[in-house]
Amino acid sequence: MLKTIKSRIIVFTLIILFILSGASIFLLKLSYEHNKELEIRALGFAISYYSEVLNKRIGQFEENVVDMTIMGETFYYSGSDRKKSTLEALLYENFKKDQTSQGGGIFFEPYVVKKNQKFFSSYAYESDNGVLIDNGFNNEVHSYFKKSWYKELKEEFAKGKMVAWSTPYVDDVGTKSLMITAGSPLYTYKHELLGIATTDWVLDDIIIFLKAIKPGENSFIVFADLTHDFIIAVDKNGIDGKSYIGKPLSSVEWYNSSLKNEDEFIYQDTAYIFFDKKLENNMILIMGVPRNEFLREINHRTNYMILMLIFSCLFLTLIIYIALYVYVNKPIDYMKRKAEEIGKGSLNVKMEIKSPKEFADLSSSFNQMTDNLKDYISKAEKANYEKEQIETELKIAKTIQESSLPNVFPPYPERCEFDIYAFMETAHDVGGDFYDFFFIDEFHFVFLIADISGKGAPAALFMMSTKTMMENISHAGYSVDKIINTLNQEICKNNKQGLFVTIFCGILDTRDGIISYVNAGHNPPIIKTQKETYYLEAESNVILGAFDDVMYKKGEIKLNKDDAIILYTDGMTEATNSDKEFYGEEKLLASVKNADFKNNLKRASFEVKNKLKSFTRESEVADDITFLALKYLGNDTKRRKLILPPDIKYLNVLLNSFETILLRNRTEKSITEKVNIVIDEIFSNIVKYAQLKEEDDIISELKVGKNEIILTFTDSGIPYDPLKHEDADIDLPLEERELGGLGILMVKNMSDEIRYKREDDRNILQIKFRIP
Amino acid sequence: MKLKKVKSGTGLRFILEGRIDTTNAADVGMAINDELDGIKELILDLKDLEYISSMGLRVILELQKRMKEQGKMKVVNVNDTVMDIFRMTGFTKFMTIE
Repeated sequence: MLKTIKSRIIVFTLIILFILSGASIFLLKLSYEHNKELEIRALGFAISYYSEVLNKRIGQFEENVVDMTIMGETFYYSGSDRKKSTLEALLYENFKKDQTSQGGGIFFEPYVVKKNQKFFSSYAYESDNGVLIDNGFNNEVHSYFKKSWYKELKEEFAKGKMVAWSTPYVDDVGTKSLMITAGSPLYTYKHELLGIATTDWVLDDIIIFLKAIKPGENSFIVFADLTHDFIIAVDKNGIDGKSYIGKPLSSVEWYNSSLKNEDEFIYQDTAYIFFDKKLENNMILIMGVPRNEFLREINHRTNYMILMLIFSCLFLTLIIYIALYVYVNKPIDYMKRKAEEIGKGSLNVKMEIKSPKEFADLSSSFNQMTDNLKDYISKAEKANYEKEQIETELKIAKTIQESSLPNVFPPYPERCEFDIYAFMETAHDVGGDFYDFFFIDEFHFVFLIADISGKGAPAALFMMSTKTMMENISHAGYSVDKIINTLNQEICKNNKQGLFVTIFCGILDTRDGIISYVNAGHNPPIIKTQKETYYLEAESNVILGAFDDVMYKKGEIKLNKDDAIILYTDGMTEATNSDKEFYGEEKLLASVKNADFKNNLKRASFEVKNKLKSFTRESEVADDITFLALKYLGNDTKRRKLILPPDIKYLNVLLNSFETILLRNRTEKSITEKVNIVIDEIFSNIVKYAQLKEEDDIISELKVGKNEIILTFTDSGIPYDPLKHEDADIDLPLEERELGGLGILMVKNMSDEIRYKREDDRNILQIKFRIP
Repeated sequence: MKLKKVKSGTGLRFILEGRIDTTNAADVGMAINDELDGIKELILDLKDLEYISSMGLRVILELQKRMKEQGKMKVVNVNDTVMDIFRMTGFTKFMTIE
């Protein structure tokens, strides 16, 4: 998934953005906390400020009520007449002046102002029609002595307080409002209580005030009196909180829970931030602000910033994506397409990228590469074509060279005086070695082996011309030294290249086995007789092609029956194995010694070759390997032995060869015909049924005696006794006659004696014909 | 081996010369067989035949079988050796030899 550059860069970018976002969110959180603290502090300031305002207000009430006590005491001591109207006028003036309180009054103790008057009080309050004087308290029904506030205040004064506040109550005389009252006692000089002065604070007024300072819609504010432990006023989310008024502070659940945590509490699943401020006269202002509401602004701001952050990240990613697509992916795709086209072989494809620079450089490198490639390929193609042509030509040359050497064995199957086998393996496509053999007259058989200095085509050409020259100058009646001298002169004539030839050439006289030979710088041949195997110490002359005036000297050796002479080139003795060891003359000699040249020349030659191969193994053959073996079989006119491959095409060779002997011995025609038919039947039978391999042989032997002719066939095929073969039924009518079985029948009928034996895994069949 | 052909209407005469041996018997058989369409009488003249191998006998056997279907066949000018062969292989029993 992350295999492409694009996805990797995008992921990398996302990781960086993620880290940046994390850092930003961390910073946001810090600033959020900071802002929150600032907000809390601001609210703290606000509540301090408002509590100051309240303090002032309370102070005003208290100052005013103290003023009123002085007013009342002054009135008391003003004289004996103490007109009520005077008091009323004082109050009127006071409330006209004082805008703080709703109302207030001076209430005297029973009978202190006038001995006959139980109720003496005056009360003034503000109404829509200005300040009104109300004396409604001065009767038994509304007796101020019975009022809660009067009793409560008096209790406080009894404790020695000079200013005190009442619990909330409903004024049923003047304003008919819910209110609290501040009071101060009037004393005589002797500190006897004369009465009390009061100012009223209507709770609605307080609530309006509280509402004004409330920071949010869902915040709530409690204003309470700690002295009496009661709630003066509440403003709470839609409820005016009247049910709480006058109740102890402990009845407020959230206030109680808030005591556990100093600045926060949970109420009805909402988190509130909590503030409180004690006022001067032991009153307290408590405020709860819902966290959400309080932090709404900060949250808004933070959310906005987070949103901006996310949007920026996405935008950045998109931009990077587009940039990657345009600057990386598109050129890469383009180059990929082009490279694929090039890969398919269209080297004329050009990449055309102008930007970005890296890809422009790369594409120009690519173009350079395809140009070079094209150039190289065309050169290589040309070279390859030329090379192929040369190779083909060399192959043809090799075939020509190979076919120029006699390579059908036996080459003279009808000649029974000798057997010859030769092979050549060239190290290069064409080689400089060669062997050759031919008759120059009926009894003189020339055979030779030669090695041209140098290798490859020049050596091969030189070899061909040498071979041709050799054939052309070898005439009947020529001795071997004469032939070689002539050859040397011919070679010297046209040898501008300075190539030279080593050669061993011999002429076998088939009548007596005498070989006359010349060795011109060649390896000494091996002679293998029945008793020993040795290197022929032939007189070694100088190589051919060096000096045209050299006279080559010949040597002579006589081969007896079954003796063999083995010729080879230095490719054999100088063949090396992987350890760079030479095969050497000793090993070669040993291999010749161990091979059975007497019985089978061809197989013995293969043995010698295989010994060499098993020595060199895989190491490359450095030089041509050429080998020629000649075995003298004697010149017996009564006998003939032919060793032939198991191929029916040799049947005629066999027939002709044996017929020659029979003719020489003046054998009767009718017997010759019988012998021929038997040879035909037996030879073809062995070829067909003996399951011989290509390299196996069929040995056929003819012996002409005084009274009989003996024919012997030897093969290494599967055991087969023709005598056990059931004869064809010759009495059947035409329609029922089978095709097989006639041959053996004929052999049996035409010969006089047939013997079969199996010996050394070979079938030996001997057939005799009597001569009458 | 040489093979000479003389044709006259539905009659066909082959003159065989040399040897019919294992190597050429099949070719001889085919050469003769190819000419046999519509032939009513086949004559094999063995005047110059040196010998005949068992493969050659097979060919003659096949020719005889075929000619029995479409007409007749006879062998003429048989020398002693070949005659011996025909005799020893029982061919004289079903062949017309003159």
